[in-house]
Amino acid sequence: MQMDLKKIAHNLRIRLNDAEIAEFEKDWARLDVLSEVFYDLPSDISDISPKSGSFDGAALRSDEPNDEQTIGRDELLANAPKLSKDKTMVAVPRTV
Amino acid sequence: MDITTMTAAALSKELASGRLSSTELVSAELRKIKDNDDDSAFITVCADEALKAAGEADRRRADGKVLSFLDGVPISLGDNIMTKGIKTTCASKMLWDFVPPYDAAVVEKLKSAGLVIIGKTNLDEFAMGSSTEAAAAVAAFMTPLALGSDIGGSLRQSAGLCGVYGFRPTYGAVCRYGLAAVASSMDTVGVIARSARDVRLLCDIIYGEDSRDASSINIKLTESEKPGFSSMSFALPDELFADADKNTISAAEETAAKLAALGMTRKTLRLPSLKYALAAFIIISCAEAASNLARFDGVGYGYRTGSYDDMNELFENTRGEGFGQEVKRRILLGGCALSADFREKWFFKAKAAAALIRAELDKALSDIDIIVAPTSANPAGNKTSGNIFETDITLFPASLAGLPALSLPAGVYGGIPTGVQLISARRRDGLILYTAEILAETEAER
Repeated sequence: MQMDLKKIAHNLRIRLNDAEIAEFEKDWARLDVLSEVFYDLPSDISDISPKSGSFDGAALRSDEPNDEQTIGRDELLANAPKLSKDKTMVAVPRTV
Repeated sequence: MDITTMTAAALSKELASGRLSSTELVSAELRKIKDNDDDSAFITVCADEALKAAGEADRRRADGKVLSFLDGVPISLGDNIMTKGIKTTCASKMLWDFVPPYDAAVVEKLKSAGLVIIGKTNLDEFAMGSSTEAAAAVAAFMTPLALGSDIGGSLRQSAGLCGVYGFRPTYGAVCRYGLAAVASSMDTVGVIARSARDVRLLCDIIYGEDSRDASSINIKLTESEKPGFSSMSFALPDELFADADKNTISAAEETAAKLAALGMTRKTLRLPSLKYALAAFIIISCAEAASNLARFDGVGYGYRTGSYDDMNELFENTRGEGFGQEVKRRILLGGCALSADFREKWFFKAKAAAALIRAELDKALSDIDIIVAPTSANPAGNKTSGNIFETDITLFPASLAGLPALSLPAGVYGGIPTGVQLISARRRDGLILYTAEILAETEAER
C-alpha cells in the first residue's frame, strides 16, 4: 500500500515542498521494508495493543508505582471544555 | 594545574579547602568558552547569571552554609531543558526566541544544590540526533558537568565519541518536567562528565520522584549498591556486536577482561528479539514525536509565519517554516505510523516488539548483572547527520526497555575515542556507576 504523504502532511498541518515529499516517500518506503521484520513476531504478543484510553508507554511499565495516575483520553475528553462551533478565532496574546 | 581540566569531585575538594573560589572557577570556564567555542558548542552562555550565582556560592561557603558537595561547581544544560528567564530554543527556529517562565525540575534541583549554570549547549533540533555539543563542552574543558537528553542513545553516543562518560538513568529516575517532550516513553535526562564518580555525585542530586511527572520513581544510589564482584556476572551478547569493527570489539573485550579480573563471571547471552529494535525504535519515536510536536502551531508561543490568510495556512506555514528537515521527517513518518491504514501494521507491532525486547532483557538481567556492549558499532564510520535511519542499534536496548546505561571511555583507536556501554536492570543504576568507578580506580592504579 502506498501512502499519500501530501494528505498525511496536510492532516498534520505541516507544509512540505515537492523535494521534501520526494525524500520522505523514500523514507516511508525504507521504513515499510524495515517493518517487514515484524511478520515473524511471536503470535502470543503480536496482538498487544495499548490499553484503551491510556498512555501505553506508561501502561506497559506495570512495575512502576505511578501508572494509575495516567489520565486516559476518554477521561480528558469527558472533562474537556465545550468548544464553540464558531470556527473564527479570537486573537490570543502570546505569553512567552 | 589548569583547573578547567579537573573533575567535579576534585574541584569540590579545592573549593572546600579554600584554595579555589567558585568565582575563580566560573571565570576560568567562561574564558575557556570565549577562547575555544568556535564551533558553537553553546547556544547561550549565561556569563552574568553564572558569575552572580558563583558569588552567592562563595558567600554561602564563607558562612558555613554549603548546600551540597557540588555547591559552586559549574554545569551546562542542553538547550531543551527549561530555564526560567534564559532562552531555551531546542536548537529550533520554532523556539528561537522562547524564554521559559519556569525552571525544569532538574534545574530546580541543581539550583537547590548550589550548582552554577554556565550556559545552554547546542543540539540537533529537538534532540533528534545528538547531544554532541554537550559532550564536546565537557571534553574541551568548558564545563566539568553537563546535562542533556537521551532518547535513542544520542547522549551516550556523543559521550563515547568525545572520550567522556555519558549516562542514561533508569527511565523515570530523573523527573522530566521541563524537558522538551519528544518521545515520551523514552525521553530521559542524562549526565555527561569526565569521571564515573562525577556522574554518580550529580545523579545523587537530580534523582527523585516528582508529582509533576507521573513516570518518575525513587532510586537511591546508596553505598549498599556497591557491588560484590565475586557473585556477579556479565555478558557480551552477539547481537550487539553484529556490525562492530575490530577496534570496537577490542575495546569491549578489554572492558570484559577488567570485569573478569575483578572476579566477575562471564556468561553467554543471546538476545534474538533485538532484530526488531531498529524498526520498533523508529516507529515508536516518530509516532511520539508527531504527537508531542503537534503543540507547535504558531498560536500559543514560538515562531509564527508571516504568510497566512486563514487558520490552516497559519498552522501549515508555521510548521513548514519553523521545523527543520529531520523533525519534519519524523513527524511525517510518525503520522503515517499512527494513521488508520498503518496503525495495526506499524505502531501496534512496534509496541509489541518493544514489549518483547523489554521482557527478554528483564529475563536476561535477572540472571546476568551487567551487559557489555559497544557504544558505537563503528566509531570511525559514524555518521552525524541526525538521520534516524543511521542511528546505532547498540544504543536501542536501553532506550526501548528503560534500562540504565553508561558509556565509558574505552581508548582511542585511529585518533577516534571509543566508548563501551555497561547496561543493567531497571533501578540498578548504582551498580553500574560504582562498577565504573572501581574500573577507573583499577585503571589508575595500573
